[in-house]
Amino acid sequence: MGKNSYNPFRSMRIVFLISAILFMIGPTLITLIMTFSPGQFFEFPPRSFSGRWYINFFQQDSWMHPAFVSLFIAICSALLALIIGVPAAFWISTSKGKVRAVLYTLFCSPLLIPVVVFATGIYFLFSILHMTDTLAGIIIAHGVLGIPFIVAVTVSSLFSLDRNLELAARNLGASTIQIFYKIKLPLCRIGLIIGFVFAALSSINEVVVVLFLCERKVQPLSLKMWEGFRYEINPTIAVAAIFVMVLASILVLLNMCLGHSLLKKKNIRGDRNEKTNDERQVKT
Amino acid sequence: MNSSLVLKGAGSSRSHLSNWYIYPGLFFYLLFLGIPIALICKESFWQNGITLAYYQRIFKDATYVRVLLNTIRISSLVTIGCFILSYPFSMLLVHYRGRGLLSKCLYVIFAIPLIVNPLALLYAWMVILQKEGVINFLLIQVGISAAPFQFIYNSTGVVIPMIYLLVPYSILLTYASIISIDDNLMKAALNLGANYLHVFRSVIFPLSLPGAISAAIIVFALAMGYFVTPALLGGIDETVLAMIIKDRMNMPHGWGVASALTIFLFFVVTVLFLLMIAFLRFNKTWERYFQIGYGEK
Repeated sequence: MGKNSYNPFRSMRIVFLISAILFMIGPTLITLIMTFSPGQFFEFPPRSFSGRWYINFFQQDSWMHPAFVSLFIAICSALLALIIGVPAAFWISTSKGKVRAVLYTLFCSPLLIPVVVFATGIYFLFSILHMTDTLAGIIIAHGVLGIPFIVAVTVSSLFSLDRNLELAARNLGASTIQIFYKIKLPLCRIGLIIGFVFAALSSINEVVVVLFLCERKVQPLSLKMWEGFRYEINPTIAVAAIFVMVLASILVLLNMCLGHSLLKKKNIRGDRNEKTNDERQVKT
Repeated sequence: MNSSLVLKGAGSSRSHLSNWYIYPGLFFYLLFLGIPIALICKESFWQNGITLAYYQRIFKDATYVRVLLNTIRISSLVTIGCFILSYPFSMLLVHYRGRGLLSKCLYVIFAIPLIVNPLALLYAWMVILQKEGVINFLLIQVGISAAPFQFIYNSTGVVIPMIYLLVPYSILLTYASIISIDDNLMKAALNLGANYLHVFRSVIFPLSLPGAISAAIIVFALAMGYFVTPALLGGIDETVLAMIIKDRMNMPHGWGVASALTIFLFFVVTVLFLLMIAFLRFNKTWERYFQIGYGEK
């Protein structure tokens, strides 16, 4: 079955590849096309193109305010998840066997629990504390939901960390905190950034908890889009969706570029050290 | 447990409890995850005293039983659809694995439903499936039917977008399962003259089946907890567990029933996850069975 011989499976495979890609990308493309449609209601294919809905989205306060609220919530909750998740990840990575498995499951449990269950429970808790419609409340809720992302990514990046670096530092007398700040944290920076981006993304896209907790005072973008769906469907929702998508793509691309540049920096640092050693040798 | 004074510099043999930095985080986490769940449990069992009345109600009242059956029906359809789609898609991933740009792009493309806002995707599916939408437009243009079909606000409108949203999980898990098959088995089969289809049927499919089934179980568990898609794109017959929980939460005395329903959902999903873990363990005996079969020949 050489590559040059006619292989009926090959053409079938390419056709299937293209249709699979179309199936997955299709809805996103259609959302993009709909943002340019002139009419109020859905019509496909759109008759002409107009940027009216973009102007609508970016000028109306009723859309821009929720957008910034969502962004703020996303960043704060991702930071919260970082603060809680990174020590947890360190703890997990220093444990072994059954303890490690139990801890890992424990800290990844928000992914395993149905969101509705968590939303109900947190609603009960917050109604006792009178925190239901508050910014702090939704940040805490999204923070808890974002912890698994941080923990999973950090544990895996710590896993690939050379143990000898830590042992050498400890040998030289470093305390736990020093090791944490000077060795472990810098080396898993990439993992932290990736985890942060994922946690923030999941917070922006989160709908169920927002629906349970937010009513009037806090209006994230998800809530506004949901209401738009229920009460007045116009393509501004699509614009909001594209806005979030573009934001997410920027974050992911930044993430990848940062990851690459951080890797490059490490190599450069190594080269620089060699240089000074050579210079030292030349001097003596 | 008191080994914190001994071997302090030796790394992992230190007592875990002496790592003070974990305590604030752990406390926070237990506070905002453990207490909500405890509260739900309490609400479901409490009505001026410990009672099972709410649980009895959710199993006897026709409304709740119907909602439960709806949820199971929709989740089953979604699971079957995802299972059917998972093999072709993950075979694509397997085939183009390691070929540079295309393989990386494929990963991202198959993960799009996880990255993009679900409301945006549902908006797009609404546009595709509605009476004046893409599919009906194409059907009428090509001439297959004269009148548009009703695809949304019924089961079709719920199941298809849910399949779309959940297929990445299915693909990723099936892909992992296929990758873990020993390459030599496939090469041996190809060497012996089997074509691709035969290799798939006799080697790849049987050996990856436990992994694919555990993926299906996860998809089922996730689909049971779905709220947004059935709420926006479904009709009355597609009222799902999550929707009725939210609805009862808005009613003044509905907290008890909502909690009972929530605990029930939690219980079902947990059982499903344990089932999945058991299936993954079963994978080892399954593989050994097949390899004994090959060895004996």
